[in-house]
Parts: sequence; structure tokens; C-alpha cells
Amino acid sequence: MAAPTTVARAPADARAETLARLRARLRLPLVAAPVGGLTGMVGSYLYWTVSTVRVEGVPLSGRLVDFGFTGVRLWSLVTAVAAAAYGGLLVARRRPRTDRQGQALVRLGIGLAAVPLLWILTLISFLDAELNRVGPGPWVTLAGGVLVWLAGRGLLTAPRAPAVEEWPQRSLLVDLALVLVAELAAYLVFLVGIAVDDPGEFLGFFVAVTALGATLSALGVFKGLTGPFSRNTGAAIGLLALLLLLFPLTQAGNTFWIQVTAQAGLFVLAALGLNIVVGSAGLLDLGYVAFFAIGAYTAALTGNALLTNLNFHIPFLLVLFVVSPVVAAIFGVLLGAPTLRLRGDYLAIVTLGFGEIVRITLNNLDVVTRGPNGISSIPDPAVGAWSIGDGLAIGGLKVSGNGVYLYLELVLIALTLTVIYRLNASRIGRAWVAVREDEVAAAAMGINTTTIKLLAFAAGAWFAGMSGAMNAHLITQVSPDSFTFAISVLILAMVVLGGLGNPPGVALGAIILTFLPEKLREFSDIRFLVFGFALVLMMRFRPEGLLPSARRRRELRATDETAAAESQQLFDVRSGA
Amino acid sequence: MDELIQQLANGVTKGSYYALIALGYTMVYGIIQLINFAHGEVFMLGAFIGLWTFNFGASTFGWGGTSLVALVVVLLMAMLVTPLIGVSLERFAYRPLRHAPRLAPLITALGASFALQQMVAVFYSRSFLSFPDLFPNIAFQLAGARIQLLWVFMIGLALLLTFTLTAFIRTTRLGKAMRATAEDQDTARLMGINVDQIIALTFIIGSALAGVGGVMAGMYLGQVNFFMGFIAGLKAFTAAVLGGIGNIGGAVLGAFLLGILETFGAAYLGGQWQDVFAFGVLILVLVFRPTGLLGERVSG
Repeated sequence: MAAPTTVARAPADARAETLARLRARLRLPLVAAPVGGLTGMVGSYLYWTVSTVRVEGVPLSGRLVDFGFTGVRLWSLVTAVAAAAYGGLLVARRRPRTDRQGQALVRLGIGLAAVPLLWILTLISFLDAELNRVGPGPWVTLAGGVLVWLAGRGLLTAPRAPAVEEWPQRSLLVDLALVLVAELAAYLVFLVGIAVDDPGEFLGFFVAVTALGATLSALGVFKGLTGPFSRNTGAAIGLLALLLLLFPLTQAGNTFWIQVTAQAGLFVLAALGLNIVVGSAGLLDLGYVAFFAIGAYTAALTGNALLTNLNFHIPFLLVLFVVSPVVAAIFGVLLGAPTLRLRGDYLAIVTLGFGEIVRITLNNLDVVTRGPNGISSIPDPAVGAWSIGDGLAIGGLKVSGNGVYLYLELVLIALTLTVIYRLNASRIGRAWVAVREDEVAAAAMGINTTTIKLLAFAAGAWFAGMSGAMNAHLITQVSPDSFTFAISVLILAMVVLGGLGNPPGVALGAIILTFLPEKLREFSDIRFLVFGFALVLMMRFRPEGLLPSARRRRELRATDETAAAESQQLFDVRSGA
Repeated sequence: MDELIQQLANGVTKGSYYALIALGYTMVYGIIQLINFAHGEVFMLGAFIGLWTFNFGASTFGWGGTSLVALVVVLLMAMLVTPLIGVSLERFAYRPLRHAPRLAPLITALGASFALQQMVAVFYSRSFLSFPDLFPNIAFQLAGARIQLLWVFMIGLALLLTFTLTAFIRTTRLGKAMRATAEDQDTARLMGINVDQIIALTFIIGSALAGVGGVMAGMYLGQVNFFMGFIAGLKAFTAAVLGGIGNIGGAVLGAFLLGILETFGAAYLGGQWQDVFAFGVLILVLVFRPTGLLGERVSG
């Protein structure tokens, strides 16, 4: 590691100074914030599309009404109201303003400006509309957003907001109320997100939610909420479980989104497994899909599939909990044992090669796997006369087959999370972290690094196998094309987006990256392009992910000085919590 | 026997473009210890730049099928444009992360690889496109095998570029600076070497070689596809590891060896196992001789 010399730093200082001067020149009075918010509100009520058809001189919104017209406007209105209210509050308040408030305004401004900008881009690039069909609404809203943004910039003195703290306990009731409100709000966002059908409208919704989320994050709300949540973990988890159990009942007989949610559950499971390998132990596994595939094929070959060349029937629960994970873990050990002794970055490429080997083998081994056709018509697992596909009826409430899969996954995820948290708190978990942070030091402390890495690898493969087994039954078929390198990258992106090393973050990443492509099917062509850029940008600007674990955040954000301080801490026995 | 020589010729030809990609991997790895996953994509873009240059030439200057001028211009364009891609990757994706934990640049490299691949897929084409026969289609018999003149050209060009590169690294001032940077960045900086520039130079040279490799692969295979860089990149990396990563002679040797092994594997095990064979070699090398055949060396 090269310590940057003072010589190298001088131009950076000069640049920061120039930037500060520019910023001072651009500074607007704070009043611009509520004014911008109001402008945005006005913009939301103006025409967003202009039709060439006029009735008595008034332009009618044309065909484009169908495409998210009211929705996008509504979302921009929400952001604008938030910006106006917050800006007004800041102006009215006597107390000195902080950087954090500035940052919140900046984010609201970006959110407000992004909705119309996206709207204009969507109109022009995806709907082939001409520029003159864009009404005054988006432009006015855009201007409002820029005003809010500039006003926020004016409040900023330092580039980064000061540290935020967890909210202390006022009373148990307040704590519980906060947990309830936070979870209900998140659930509501999820349900509304599902209910918004139109892709353009959904984009607007997504941008608005992101802007509000970023604002809340800048205000320290999320960090603050970790207080009540950590004090009432049981209640928080119980409530979340209840909400998720109720989810299939909210869909009014429409099973599509239940199935997508079940798919998301699978990816949560797989991503949690990959997180052990990449997040905890710091090994980059690029062939993770291979273990998923092995689990899926194992389940397919033992699951009474109709179209298969081979079938040893084994009861589903046995496959799910034992056979598939064990087979996958065995492959994990077989691959890991020889290669884990090597330097970390070789592992990435070896696992990548292994992923391809497994896919090609599945493709070519016609006798067992039916080659490119794959194994299909895998029935829903049955217990006696009842099979999962029949669904459940409790009282008057009916839950479809996909809902039952979802319930089963919730159980699996709960078990997995328990195992992962217990593991992380154990000797093994601490050894993983030690190996990740400094392999040589870990070895010097008596950790058998190869074994411990192998254990991480096998544990990751285990959960992938489990997830794969569920997948085979859920989508009723397996074929080599569904286990490409792209899926490995997708799962890795989930882990990175959510927050390397932090299970709740990883779960969030998996949910977002399963639902987004489903919601934005119109743009499915560019899906992987966006993933690629997202990986690059995440690593550059927010390497710790959306919901970072505190330790990982410090590690990934470490500059040379803080890294030195950190490594100093490693020698301090008392700080090893 | 004839069959054997024929396969050998095929394998060596394949090895020639693997070698050009492997050089970039090995140089970048030697100097900043990063597996530049996007390097395979630079190779793919080299092939596409060749194709676009030819299409442009065909529509403006009426280039026909085989034309020596077209060949030279296409190769030069690929060599000139790919370095821009490589350098911008280095500047905007890898340089900001030079002091980050190792996982960060690896994930970035992977993301960049994906992004470049998909850019071609989304904005240009997802299908296989036929690559023009720029080189005269002449074949001759040698020891019972049918050899295309193109193959000889490819092998010759690959060897020529390798020797030029070796000479550059061994004899010039910049080459010396590269070796010093690979050895120890901090000390190199203290000696007055502009390390950032040297790293950028490494990316420039590596990308230019990959660009040439792309055009060669296009001519050899007769078609190009946005996905071609993925497998080729993996194989070239295998070749670099086989020869001993960081070692330029090793990368070339590894590439030719891998090309030959792979061709024989495909011939005797069946073509569908070709890629499995290559990755199997990679895993075996890493297990039994992780430093490669010639051993790891920093550069030169």
C-alpha cells in the first residue's frame, strides 16, 4: 500500500478549494428550497404530455395517458410536497442548520428532478415521442428540483454528513410504535410497488421511493431506527413474519406476484449463502450458480419428474434439507480443497471455470440430464394425498400453491438466518473475518486458513443446493440455460448491492434485484447492462452496499490513515467485540 | 499422422490469438495484481472495431473481400481504438480503487466486463456476424496437413508482436520503468517513475495486443459475437496461468500449449467438451503447479 505523498495531495487540495469557491458562488438562499418544492407541486399539476389534438384550443393529453401519466405526476407531487414542507420547516426554524439537513435537501432535489427527467427520457427514447409532445409539467418540475438541490448544496460545508447515532430508548411503547410504523411503511411500499403495473409509472414510483429513502438515510432515520430494532429484535421479527405470512392473502387470487415473491425468496436464500463466501470469508466465488444447479438437478432427479431419464425417488423434505445441500457441499469441497490454498484472485477464475464446466457437463451428459432439454414436469412435492400445488385453506382463507412455497421458504430463510448469525458469532465466524481481513495474521494466530476457507465454501454451497432444490420444484423444470454465468453475476450483484457481509442487506438486495426486472420487463434487454454498470458504480461510490454492516463499511471505506488506525485496533484485545 | 499434424497446426493457430490476449492479462497482473476480467471484452471489441472499420471502408472506399490495404487499416484501427477502452477502464474503474480491499477491483472488473459485453449486445447486435475474409484464401500442403496461409500469418504476427514487446520491456527506458513498477511501486515512485503513467501504459499495450488478437480471431473463426470475449478471455487467462502469470514468455508458451491441448482434446473427446477441457487444465495447473510452467516472474 502506497501512502499518498504530500506532493500528490496538493493538487487535490487545490481542486477542493476551487470546488468550494464554485459552490459558494452557486449558493442560493435557503428560501429557494420551499420555493423549489412549490414549483415542483405546480409542475405536477401542469400538462406532462401535449397532444397534437386540440379541443377548443386546449391541448389534450393524447395516447400517452395510458402510459403512467397520472402515476408519474403523483410521485413527483409526493417528492415536491416533501421538499416544500421540509424546506419550509428549515426556513422557519431559528436554530442553525446542519450539513445533514443540507444533504437531505440535496437528495430531495435530485429525486424531484429525476422523475421528470426520466419521464422525458422514457417518452423520447422508448415511446418515440417528439420533444414538442413533452408538456410544460416535467420542465417546471425539473426546475423546482434543481432549485431545491442548489439550496441544499448551499447548506453543505463538508462533503460528507457527520456521523449519526442510534435513537436512545424513550419508552418501550415508543420503541414498539417506531418498529411497527417502520415495518408497515416498508410493507406498504412493497405492496404499492407490486400494485403499480405500468412500467413508466413504476419508474416514477421507484425514483420517488429512492429519493425519499436517500433523504431519510441522510437525516439519520435508518441509523436511528437500528436502536429500537436492536432493542426489540423479537417483536420486529415476529411482526415481519406476520406481514409476510399475510402477503399471499393481499393478492386477491392473483398468483403472479406470489410466484415472483417465491422466486425472490429463493434468491434470498442463495444470496445469503454466497454472502458467507464473499461477505464473511472474502472469497470471490464466480461460479456460485454451479452449486445452485447441482442442487436443482439433484432435486429434479429425485423428484418423480415426468420427463427424465433417471429417477430415484426420495421424499422432498429429505432432498431439501439433506440430499441436495450435501451433494452441493461435496462439490464445493471437491473444488475448494485443491484451489483454496491459492491466492484469492485465482479462486475467482477457477470458480468461474468450474461454473462453466458444470453447465457444459449438464448440457452434454444426455444420459442423465437430457442435455439441453433439461428435466421437466417436476411435480409439486406431495405428502400423502396433499401436494403443495393444492394450496392451503385455513378457515375461509385460501393460499395458493405458490403461497405454500413462499411459506416453506420463509421457514428456510428463518433457519438459514439463525444458522448464519450463530455461525458469525462463533469461533468459525470470527475466523472467517480474520482470514478476510488479513490471511497471514490469521494464520499466525493459529487459524488453519485452508480449512476455514473450505468451510465457508462448503457452507455457501450448502445453501445454494437448498435453494436450487426449491427452485426445481417451484418452476417445475431444470435446464442448463437457466444456470449461466449471468446468474452467478446476478447473485453476486444482490450481495454487493444489499451490503457485503450483512444478511438483512443481502436479503434486501435479492428482493430488489428479483422484483426490478419483473417490474421493468419493458427494459429487459438492458437488464444485464445495468447490472454491469451498477457493480462498477457501487464499488466506486458505495462499496458497502445499501444496508452495510458497520465493520464492512469501515473496512471498505478505509483510507490509508483509517486503515492504519484499524489495524492498530486489531492489536487491542479489548476492542475485539 | 497426417491428422495429428493437422490438429497441431489448428492448435498452434488458435494459440496465436490466445497468446495476444494472454499477454495483456499477464502484464496487468504482473504490475497491479489484478485479474482484469474486462480484458476478454477488449479483445471482443477489437474484433468488432475491425468489423466496423471494414464495413465503413466497404461502404466508403468500396473495399472488396480480400485486400491487403483493408487488412492493414483494420488491424491498425483495432490497435488504436482498443487502447482507449483499456485506458479508460483503468482510469475510471480501477485507479480509484487501487488502495481498496482486493475484492473491490475484482468485482469492478467483473462489472466492467459485463457492461462492455452488454453494450455491444444492446446497442449493436446479439447475433453472430460474419467477419470478412481480409486475408487471401490460400492453402498449401505441408507434411500431409492442409495449412491456410492465414494461419502462418497469424502465428507470425503473434510471434513478431511478442518479440517486439519483449525487446521493448528489456531494452527501453519505459520498459525498465515498467519492470521497476511491477517489482515495487513505492520504490519505483521514489526513483522518479510516474507509476500512474506506467500502469496506464501497461493497459495501452495490453489492449492493443488484445485488439489485434480480436481481428485475428475474427478472421480465423469467420464470425464474431458479443459473447466471444468471455470464453476466449478465460482461456487466455488459463494460458497465462499455465505459463506462469506475470511472465511474458510463459504467457505465449502457455497460449500455444493450451491451443494445442484444446484442439487435441476436442478432436479425441468430442467438440462439445472442448471448453471443459481447457478449464480442467486450468484447475489441474493450479493444483499441481500454481506458479506455472516457467514460474512466476514479474515482467520481461
